[in-house]
Amino acid sequence: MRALALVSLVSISVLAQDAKPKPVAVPIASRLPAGATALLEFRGVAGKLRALLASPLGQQLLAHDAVQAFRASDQGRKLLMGDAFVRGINGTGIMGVLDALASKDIAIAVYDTPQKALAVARVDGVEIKKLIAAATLFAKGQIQIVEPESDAGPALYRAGPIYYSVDNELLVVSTVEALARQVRAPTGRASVLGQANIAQARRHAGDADVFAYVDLETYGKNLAQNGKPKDLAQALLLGAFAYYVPQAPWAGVGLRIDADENGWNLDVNANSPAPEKRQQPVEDAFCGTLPTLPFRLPERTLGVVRMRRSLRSVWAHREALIADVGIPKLIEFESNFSNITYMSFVEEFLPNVGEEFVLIGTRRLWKADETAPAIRMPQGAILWPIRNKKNWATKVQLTFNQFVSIINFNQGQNGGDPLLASSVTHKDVVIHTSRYHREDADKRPPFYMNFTPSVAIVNDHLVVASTVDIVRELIDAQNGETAALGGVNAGVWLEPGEIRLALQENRETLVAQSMLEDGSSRANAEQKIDVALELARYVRDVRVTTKAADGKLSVSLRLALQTPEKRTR
Amino acid sequence: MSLLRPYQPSAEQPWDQDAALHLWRRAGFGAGPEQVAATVKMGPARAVEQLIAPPGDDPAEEGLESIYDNIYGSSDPDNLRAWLITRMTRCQHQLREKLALFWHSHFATSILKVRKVDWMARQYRLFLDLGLGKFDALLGEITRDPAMIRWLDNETNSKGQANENYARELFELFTLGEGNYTEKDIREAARAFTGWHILRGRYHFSSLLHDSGTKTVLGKTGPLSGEDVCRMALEQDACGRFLARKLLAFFVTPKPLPKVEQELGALMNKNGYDMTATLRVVLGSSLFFGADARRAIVKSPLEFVVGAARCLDSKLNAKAAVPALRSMGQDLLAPPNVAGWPGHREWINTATWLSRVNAGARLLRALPASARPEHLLGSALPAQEYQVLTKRATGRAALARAILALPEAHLA
Repeated sequence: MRALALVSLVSISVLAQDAKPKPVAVPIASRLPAGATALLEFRGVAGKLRALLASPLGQQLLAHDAVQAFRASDQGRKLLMGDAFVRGINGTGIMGVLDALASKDIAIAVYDTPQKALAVARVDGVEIKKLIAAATLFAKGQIQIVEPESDAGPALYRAGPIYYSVDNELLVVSTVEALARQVRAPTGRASVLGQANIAQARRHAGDADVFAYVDLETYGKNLAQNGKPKDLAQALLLGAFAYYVPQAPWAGVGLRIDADENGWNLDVNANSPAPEKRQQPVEDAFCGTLPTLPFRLPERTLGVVRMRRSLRSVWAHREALIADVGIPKLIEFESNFSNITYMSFVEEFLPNVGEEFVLIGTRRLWKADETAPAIRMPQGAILWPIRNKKNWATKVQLTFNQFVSIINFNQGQNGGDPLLASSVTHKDVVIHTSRYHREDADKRPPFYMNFTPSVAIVNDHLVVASTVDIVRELIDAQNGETAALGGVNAGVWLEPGEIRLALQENRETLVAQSMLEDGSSRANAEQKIDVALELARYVRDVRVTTKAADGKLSVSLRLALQTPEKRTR
Repeated sequence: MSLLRPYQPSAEQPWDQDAALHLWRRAGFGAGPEQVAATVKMGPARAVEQLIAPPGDDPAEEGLESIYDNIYGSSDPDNLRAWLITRMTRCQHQLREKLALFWHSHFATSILKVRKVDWMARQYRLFLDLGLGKFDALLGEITRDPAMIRWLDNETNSKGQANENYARELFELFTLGEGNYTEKDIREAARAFTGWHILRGRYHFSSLLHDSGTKTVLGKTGPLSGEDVCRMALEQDACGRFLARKLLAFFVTPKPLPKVEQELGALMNKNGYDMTATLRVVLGSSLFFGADARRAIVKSPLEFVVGAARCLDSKLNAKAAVPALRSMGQDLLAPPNVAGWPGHREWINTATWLSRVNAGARLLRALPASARPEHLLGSALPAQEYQVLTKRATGRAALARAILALPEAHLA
């Protein structure tokens, strides 16, 4: 198979400190006056997209049945009609307009409120003027000349709330007349590029193809007002970002497209607040890097979530890290935990667990003699490193029995199927497991038959799993390891190929949902789902990682596409 | 002269588009312009027959049946709700769907207590499969239905410790109505249902927990069983009248005349509670097509939402419709109490009215090219009013929304 890589990396800058600027030609954004609270720059994006569409991957996508089906649909026909209409005006159609508008640079700035916006673009002025002339004809007098062309600059027009002017290479559009005038006839006043924060953010983003800047002091007031996370789950999920992002004066996003003949790249990076603004409880609880995981990923892995979070530190500094409203819930949790596990959460549990949470999901294989439920859930396991392994065995068994008892009490009250607990051994590892006992003559197993809750201690990790099968797979996977990317603090790694297979196994469920949500026939729903599953074959790799260590705070998104193998029919 | 005599089209009561639309609204959830036109062409008698037994296959129903396992095995009751709403919207056999909804309110059982989607699915299946058959068969099955047994606590009805809930509702709400039985009848009948329990998700008769002693119920004495009690209830004249009143209130007029109840009740007693035969008479009667019956009933939220989608040939997002219907006061599978939804004027209050108008707006974001908003009301929308709405509404969707906000659009 000839794989084509389409790799994307997006970064959000919070405070740039040490990015090295690359030499850039005078940017179009320099025409925008200073005082902007948000800025968006496109730097020749259309050309790169054109290159992508011309690549083998792009050609295959354009020839795809789904694209052809869209062309034949009502919306597709409307689009083609619109294209024909524009072609009648400029001879090149909508793509020609996009080319004229976006093949060079565009910069959009917002001043004070989103209602005060100004955009400038390097354009093919001749093409744009043709379009404006045609639009003027159709607008039937809705377009007025505010100021005729003169030595001071091109004519300034008004169409409803929009002011615009265009010369041979520059299009200016604004919601405010004064801003449009300033750009139309530059007077040497300071530009947005002179704003310290914007300059810093731009340096940090480097030669990104798309750059965005937002003044958080203007638009991020809500972030700061939200204060500390309200509960533990929120704190664990957001980590250091929950505490540091609201302190940042601005945020920047850079998007890099590496358009070689096969694909493109997107890039993002960020830095944390200045050292004096860092808080030790946050650093202890949520910063640092992921260690090597002493398991290889099992076969049929759908995805992995890994997070470096010190629950012990969170508990030690909970008043500093969690909002007051969330503290009583933590205390209640401690009490419930002790009742169920016969362990003190703070004195016995926390000192004996490590600082990494791992969640692994895999596609489940159903044995020939098993009747699978209509909805086939993937299987998942949470792995948590533990210390003093020998102290855990009895407590794990005890806790599991308590869990089964509680489930059975509830099931018994509601006439539900009970869990049957048992223990099995796999490669000398004891697995405490359970399965739902069902004697109903009904041959349609309910959804919960997907679960055989299990727990075991594997390779110095407490494993809590939705099925006994995934525990066995993890025991088999002890003979390898999974390294984290350098400096990564938390991340999600997905395997699109396996996810597509899992979705394919649940095609019937997806079709059912589509029929109920769209009100469409089975045939239409099948067609829609099959198109989505087919398009999923183009995705090769997806990952989101965060860094929160050594003064770095960043989010990265990576997306890789591929040209799928031809399917045999 | 009997008001249930067959309807004969006349100058006063012509067989026209309005009459056909009326038939579709009551015996189903409504129909689009083409379907109504075809109904007008076939005449009233054949139209009623086709509602009772639509000819040919129904691809929509086949498609929905093909995903039933998926719905049944789901732990989310909203999936079942959405499946049922989609059936009402898309299935050809509209009378069966409408009657199933009637039985759902008649034998009102709530998932809030039953808490098992598969049990509720099986109960609703009974309404779909047996609804148009003989009532005694449906009553027999519903008495053994696990969801009903749980709903009315018959699991705790055992010899020496009779729980009267099922016996009470059997007489009061399912067969006879208040005033046609005594408290002693309930106490004795409850003994007949002792040991009617659930085991492994199915009906289970426990002979050890059943009271097989002599009982006196509705004037008869003997070692009566639960089956005997059901049969004896059906033998009462009051049962025919009671069911007739509920059927007439649901299909024809909210306050039926006592003499019509009497006449239909007698007919049901005579035909062995054959619902198809009974509905053939009701839907084909001059009473049904009379002017007093037209738009005389406030639509239930389901009738309003599903009806709007069907009349406009619009697709319905049934998953999204579930919470919308709930806010309008009709939470499918969760009727408010054992008596079901009171219906008619009870559907409308300041909160539910607002929800109805909002739902109309949400439902009609995109209309198919074939949609004709004016069809929603037929001649109930005066030409002058239609002109005003057409002038003010920008586009067909806006026009449809405006029409759906009119009081007339909420009357069946």
